[in-house]
Amino acid sequence: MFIKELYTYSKLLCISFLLFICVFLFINYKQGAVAAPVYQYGMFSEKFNIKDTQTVYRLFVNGKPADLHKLNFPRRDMLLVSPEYYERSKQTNQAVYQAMKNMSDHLNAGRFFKSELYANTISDSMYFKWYKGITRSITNTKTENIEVYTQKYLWDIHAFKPVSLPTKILYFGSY
Amino acid sequence: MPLNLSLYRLKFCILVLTEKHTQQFALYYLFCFLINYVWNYFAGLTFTTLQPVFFLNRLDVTLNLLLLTNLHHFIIESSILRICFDLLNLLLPCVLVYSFIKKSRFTGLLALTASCFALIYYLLFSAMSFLSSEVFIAWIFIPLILHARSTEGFYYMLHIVRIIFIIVFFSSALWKIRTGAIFNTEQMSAILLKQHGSLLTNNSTSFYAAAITYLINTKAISFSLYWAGFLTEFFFVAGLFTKRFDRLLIIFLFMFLLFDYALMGINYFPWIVFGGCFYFSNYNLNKENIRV
Repeated sequence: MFIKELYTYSKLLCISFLLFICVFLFINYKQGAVAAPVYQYGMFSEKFNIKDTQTVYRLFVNGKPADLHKLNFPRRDMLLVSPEYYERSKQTNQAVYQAMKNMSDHLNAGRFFKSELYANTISDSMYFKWYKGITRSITNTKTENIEVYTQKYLWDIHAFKPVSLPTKILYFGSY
Repeated sequence: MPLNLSLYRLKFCILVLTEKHTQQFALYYLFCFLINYVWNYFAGLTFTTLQPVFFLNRLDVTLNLLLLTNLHHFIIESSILRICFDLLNLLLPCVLVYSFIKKSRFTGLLALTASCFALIYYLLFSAMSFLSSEVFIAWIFIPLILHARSTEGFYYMLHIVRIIFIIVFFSSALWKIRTGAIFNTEQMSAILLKQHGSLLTNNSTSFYAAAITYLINTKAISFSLYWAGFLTEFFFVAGLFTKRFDRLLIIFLFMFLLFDYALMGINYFPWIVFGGCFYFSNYNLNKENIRV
């Protein structure tokens, strides 16, 4: 048996290995916070349904929808996921900070968790400027106007149908 | 006794792990790493090319402890630090493999440094980009195999990482049973909608968009693909009991990564390096040289 052989070879290595497995099992059983490199590898195990409303991010460059099918996946994600993550960071960073602080308070270590370490220092205008730069470099076009909208959609047999009005979340341009 | 052992090996075709194999593994790791690095560089996925300006936190204890150092703010503010991080990320695996092949006495230290640095680098990078850090676990675990000074140590570390990877892969199959996703016939169609929402709302006429639309509407095929993925993950558990199927597991792993990229648009290709653990697992220790 491998564990027995490993124990004979090195007790320390064997104990470390078993400890890792225990932490992995614990984190996967508890379903809360993770501790890299121990994760919950769900890989799309959450239940999804076709009738779920999808919030879609749409990018318009110079008034036209960006031609995304020409881009590879990382570049496409960089354009569409980045605004989503930026918006999300405004609430999530604070919420995670609070959760970690509460957790560390139990261990008398809450004083180390300072809120400024867990907040972004960037302003919206700085982010827009950065986003304009990457959009210009990825789409390889002279970007005069950039707009990012979110809109809710439902799948209707062959195509998405909008079920809400578009919400402009990012705008950079001259009009 | 040596004669008997030789006959035994001949009869059962036992492959013996040698130093040459350990070096081949090290070179395979470096090759995969460099390919991945070049891909990331041209996709704009390094600190230098991305020039991140914000980070997104998540409930990860290790990441939150790392944030206590304020390193993320330094990286956002300093282009020199970003270049240093990217250079170190590139150089450490190269130096480690060189040191491993040359049997330098610093190999152990380098292996631990490369592993810890990869953990820090990819945790911070995933917080500042859209990539999930799970994709990069290979660069954290594989250097630990090269920590071993002897063939025997290499053998045990290789098998430890192999088992960890099997557990990781198998656990995702268990998650699918636990949540009931494998019994949801529209699961894969709904995942494709979620993954390709932006592409499909753009009225794209590309072949890819048409293929995704076809799969969404043909639930039987898409659900079969989901089950194929689930069965692949589940089958990995066989690796905990026998090494007989390891070559098959390599094929399964490769197919899984290929389909993951083609259908979901997720690049799990760094995991291909784990294939080396399944390839070299067929080599056994030379029992004559093992201390009792």
